[in-house]
Amino acid sequence: MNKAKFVAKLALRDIRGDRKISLIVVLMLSFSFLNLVFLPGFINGLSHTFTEGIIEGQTGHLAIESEEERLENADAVVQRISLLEGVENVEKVLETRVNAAYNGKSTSVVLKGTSAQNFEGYTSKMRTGKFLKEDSSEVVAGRFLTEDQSITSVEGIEIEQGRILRITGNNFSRELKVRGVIGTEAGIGGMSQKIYINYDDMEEITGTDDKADTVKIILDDRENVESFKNRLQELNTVGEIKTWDEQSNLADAINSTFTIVINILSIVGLIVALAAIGVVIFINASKRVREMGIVRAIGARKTRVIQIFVLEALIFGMAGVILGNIITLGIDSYLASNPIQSPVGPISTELSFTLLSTRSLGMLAASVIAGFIPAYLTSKTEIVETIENR
Amino acid sequence: MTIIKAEKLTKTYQMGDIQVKALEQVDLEVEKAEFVSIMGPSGSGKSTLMHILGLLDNPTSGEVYIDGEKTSDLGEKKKADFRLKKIGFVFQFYSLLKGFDSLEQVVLPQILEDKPKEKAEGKAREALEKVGLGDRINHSPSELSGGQRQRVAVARAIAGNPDILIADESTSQLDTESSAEIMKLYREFAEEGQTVITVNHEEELGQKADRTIWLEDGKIKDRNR
Repeated sequence: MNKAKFVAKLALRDIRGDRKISLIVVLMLSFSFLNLVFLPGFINGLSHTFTEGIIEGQTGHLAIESEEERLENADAVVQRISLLEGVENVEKVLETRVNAAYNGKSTSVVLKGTSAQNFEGYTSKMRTGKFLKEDSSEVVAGRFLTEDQSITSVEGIEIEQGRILRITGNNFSRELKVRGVIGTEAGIGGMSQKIYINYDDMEEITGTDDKADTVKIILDDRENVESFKNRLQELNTVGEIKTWDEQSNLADAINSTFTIVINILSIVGLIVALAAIGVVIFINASKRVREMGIVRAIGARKTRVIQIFVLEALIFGMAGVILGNIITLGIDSYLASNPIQSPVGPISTELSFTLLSTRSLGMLAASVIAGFIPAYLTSKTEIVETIENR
Repeated sequence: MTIIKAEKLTKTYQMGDIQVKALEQVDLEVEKAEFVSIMGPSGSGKSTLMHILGLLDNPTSGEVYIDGEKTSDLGEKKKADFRLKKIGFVFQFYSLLKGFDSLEQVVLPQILEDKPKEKAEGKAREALEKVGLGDRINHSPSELSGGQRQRVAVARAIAGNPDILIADESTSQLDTESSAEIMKLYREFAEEGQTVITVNHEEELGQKADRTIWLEDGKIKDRNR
């Protein structure tokens, strides 16, 4: 046994001595860790669902717009970008405002022509029926059009899947079958208040050929947005390239707000964790004052006493962090396959390595601090006073 | 040769509004390899004197010299080193650490002294043999009788061969036979060259020392050589 072993043995012996108490302490710390990580992770997930709604329905991760009126040679642009690594979907978009009428009711609504019939961002948001099919002149209605009253700027016209919708615009009027209804409960990203139509039909309606209002790009990883933008610029891509947060002030504001909330929650969580471990270690230190007096009486320096308490706190902290990580990742894994259904869409936790590692380190640091304070106070007590504390 | 010298030691405790003088102007000199017994009634200041001589407490005024070194000049680290290397202390209530067997209890101070493991264990075994616990080295305190526990504490105090052994009422919790055995051990240590200072509550045990000092109301009343 050397000095380090002695310190470790004294610290471990106390932990092993009362296993039930030790288990309770570790559980308490692991739940403090869960509190520290889960809520920010959940809010991250909520923020992600919000922004994904906007990205999928409105902005894409990146959008290329013409600096003048409409992008020329849209097909070539789409094909070129589709071949790049990291691209999940490229979509040509043509939009125009139309009047939609059904059963005596009508509303002004955006008609969106899209080339992305198989884009999961659309297909997964279908409430009834299916999304658009190539070579089929049908439409998909936003869910607000199915209402019997006005919810946003769109007037509900009580349209349903399978019904015929009359769409009227500048120099055109058509009757089209509703193939399905799309949208989320809260209508994030505007999907719920538009009518979707195949791009080819939209070209016919607007009288355009190989032109697009925007080309929207979905990447397989949102983190790569800036680097992908740079890559597009290096490839001399025609048009103005904008990231999702440059296009949508709302998405940017939501993201920034959630970041503030997460930071506040993290600080509060860390204080709660610090207090919890501080109380536990302090009570433990109080129980062991006499023993520490004996250790000092036989020649141990104050630093050794502090080391014992700090090591004990660190062991508790590490056990709490490990168990906390296991519980958190278990819940995360469950929510990934069973997300919570909310009006803004399905929410699951979003735990980054940075979140887990910084909070783990924070918790360990909190443990060391919480262990150090009572240890320091105990080491300051006169030896005689501690020994007489029978 | 004087190994411990105390000059005008005074210790005052504040208990609420009242000042209690535990020690008052105590002068004391102990020679190397001397066996001294401090006696006196309860509250006479015996333990306080032991704690101050053992560097576990500081006097309110006065000075303690150990091996000619003025202890009030020593910093906290140096005092810890003195307690580790020069002084072995045996407490009234065994003062063993839970969860450590006899060998580990005795090895402990030597580990703190950075002695190699084998040497430390060798010394610890030797000390345990000396106090008659050679066959109890792997027993934990809960597996030992009161007398055996106190002997482990004595072994811990002597294993590092300190110059001074201080025992504060180390026999008060023991039966007559165990007390006599412990006192016999102290006598042997003194004969081997260690300075032994004990506090005894029984006069008969105190008489086994070379010299008894009688304390009363924090003052030395009688020195009997």
